Amino acid sequence: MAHEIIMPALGMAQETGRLVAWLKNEGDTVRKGEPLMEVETDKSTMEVEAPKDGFLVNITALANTDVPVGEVVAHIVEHLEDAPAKLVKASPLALEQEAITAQEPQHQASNQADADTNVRVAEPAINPPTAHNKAKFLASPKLRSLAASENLDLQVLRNAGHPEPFKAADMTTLRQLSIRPNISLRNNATSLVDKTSFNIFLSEINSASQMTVSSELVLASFISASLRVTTNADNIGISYKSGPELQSTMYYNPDKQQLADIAPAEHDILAMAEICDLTSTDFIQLSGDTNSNIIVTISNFTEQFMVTLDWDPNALSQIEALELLRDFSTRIKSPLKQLL
Amino acid sequence: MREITFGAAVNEAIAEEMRLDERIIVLGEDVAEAGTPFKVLSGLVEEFGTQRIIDTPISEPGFTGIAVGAAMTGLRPIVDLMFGDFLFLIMDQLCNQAAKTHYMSGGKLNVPMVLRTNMGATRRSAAQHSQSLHALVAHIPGLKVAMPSSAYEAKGLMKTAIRDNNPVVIFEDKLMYNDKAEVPEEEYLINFGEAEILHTGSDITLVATSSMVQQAEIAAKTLAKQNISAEVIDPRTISPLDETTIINSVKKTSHAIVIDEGHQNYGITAEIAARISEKAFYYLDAPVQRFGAMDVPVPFSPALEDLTVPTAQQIHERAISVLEGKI
Repeated sequence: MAHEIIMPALGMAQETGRLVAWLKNEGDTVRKGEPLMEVETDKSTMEVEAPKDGFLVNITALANTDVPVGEVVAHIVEHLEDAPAKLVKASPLALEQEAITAQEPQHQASNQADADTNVRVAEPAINPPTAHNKAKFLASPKLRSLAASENLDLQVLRNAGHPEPFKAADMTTLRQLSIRPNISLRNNATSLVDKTSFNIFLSEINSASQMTVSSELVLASFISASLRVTTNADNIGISYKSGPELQSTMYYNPDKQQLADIAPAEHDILAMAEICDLTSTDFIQLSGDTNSNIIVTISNFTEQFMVTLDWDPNALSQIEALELLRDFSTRIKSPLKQLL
Repeated sequence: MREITFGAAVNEAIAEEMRLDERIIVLGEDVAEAGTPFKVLSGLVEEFGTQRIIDTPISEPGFTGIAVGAAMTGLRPIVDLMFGDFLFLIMDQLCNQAAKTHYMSGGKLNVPMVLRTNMGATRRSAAQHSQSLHALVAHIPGLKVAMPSSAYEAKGLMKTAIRDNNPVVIFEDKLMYNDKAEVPEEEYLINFGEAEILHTGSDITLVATSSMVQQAEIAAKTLAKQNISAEVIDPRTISPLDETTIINSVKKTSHAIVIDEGHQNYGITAEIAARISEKAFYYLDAPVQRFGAMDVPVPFSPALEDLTVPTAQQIHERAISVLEGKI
């Protein structure tokens, strides 16, 4: 089954979108959520993400061209053989050149994220194919299908200086080079956030209202609001572990309620993220046995909160994760924003 | 099992069929008393007489046209074209008439005709008597093309061709007439469109036709000494072509060389290589290689002529290059 990639409408009364660059090449493996192309309107530039896992095929629109909104510009297929008949509008060479020029803005975006929120990013040594991987490899069709079937990235062979063209016999080397180190397959990023404003905010709320609002309720509300940056889901459930025993409490859409009214969820809900609040303990880091896609660990670090975001790269792209972390940090640094 | 020559196998096939069906006649130049320049038909005129083994004047278009007409009206002629190079003389009779009559007559007329002719260089016969022109014929819808690579195939394919109700062209390599092979005394037929795997292997597929089958088999044996396992496939008929056997083999080996004695440009090797690329692309680990005869008129000089035709040694070298990724 081929899934159509269309030029999205980013603004009202918008008739065309400018395809700035392809971030993936024809035939590349793509994962759900990975950026496929950069699109620009008169107001904004955004990345269009892959709606599902598969292979990007049948690219029919050239980079740096205006494309009518709603027009199909590529397909995603589960198997390369399923590629629909191609209506070629661009030569592969032109697409390749466009892809190369597309690399730079990508880097700038992540540098900016680093600067904004003091974020250090640690990734597993071997990454799944990412948007940064624009290279054309000389490889036999057989090696390509074998590598794709095992979800292995040919960049690994090139990085190792393996001579091209890669052939089926190189699968052994590719597999060896691709063995992931015995550490978490997850990515994580840590940010240090000043908590002065947060503490002032909390004490003012508590002196103004009759009820006691715990830092837990405020943080739960903040993270819930931040999660909306990365999801279109209307309802957000979170699992919040806190206290010396790390007792788990479920909250349902806490950001949609008055702080004083936030109460634990009455029914079991599906948690989108897990919050591990270590602020009432001496620990600053905890590796759990959870399999939640998104885990936010909050601990005390001198006069700051240390916020660690741990995510499954299959569920969240790095850019989304950094945005989530940045948004959450901003809310802690200036809590009044939450009220606006 | 008894061994007989390629020429004797052809002779036996024709004689057996002529005994079974008196509508079968043979016509061509020097087919009766002379038994053809290669003595393939010797003895037939003694058994069947000059009414059925007919020596014609030197006029290829004439006797081929007669045969096409005879076939339409009830006989089952076997046309003997002394050299494959003379195909150019009978293109209209063969390609416009024989190939299309069944279609043009709305199925009312059949042309149950066999054209047996030859191919192959390195006989020092120069450019006008050394060509391998089977690709010209295989290009035409309505013509079947058989290319026996041994005495066994020569007999089985000839008998199938004679019994076919449509025109069949059989190309025999003129250097193979004296090659012996085991041929059963009991009757057998070889179906068209069924390739034979002569040598099973797992590393590389060598698709070879006619005399090139022998060269491919020698190359496969040399490769085996280097622990390289080559699969040799003889399509036996190039039209119809047993694509399935070839594609399945390439899916297994991921490497392929197609070897044929016709010129490489626009030839059989290109056709088969293209089908492999179309249908086994994702299994390929190296580009499919065409290996045909050099694209030059066949030289008269023996030293030069030998350079124009693929040899076992060259096939072996080419296979190594393909497997080592040097191509």
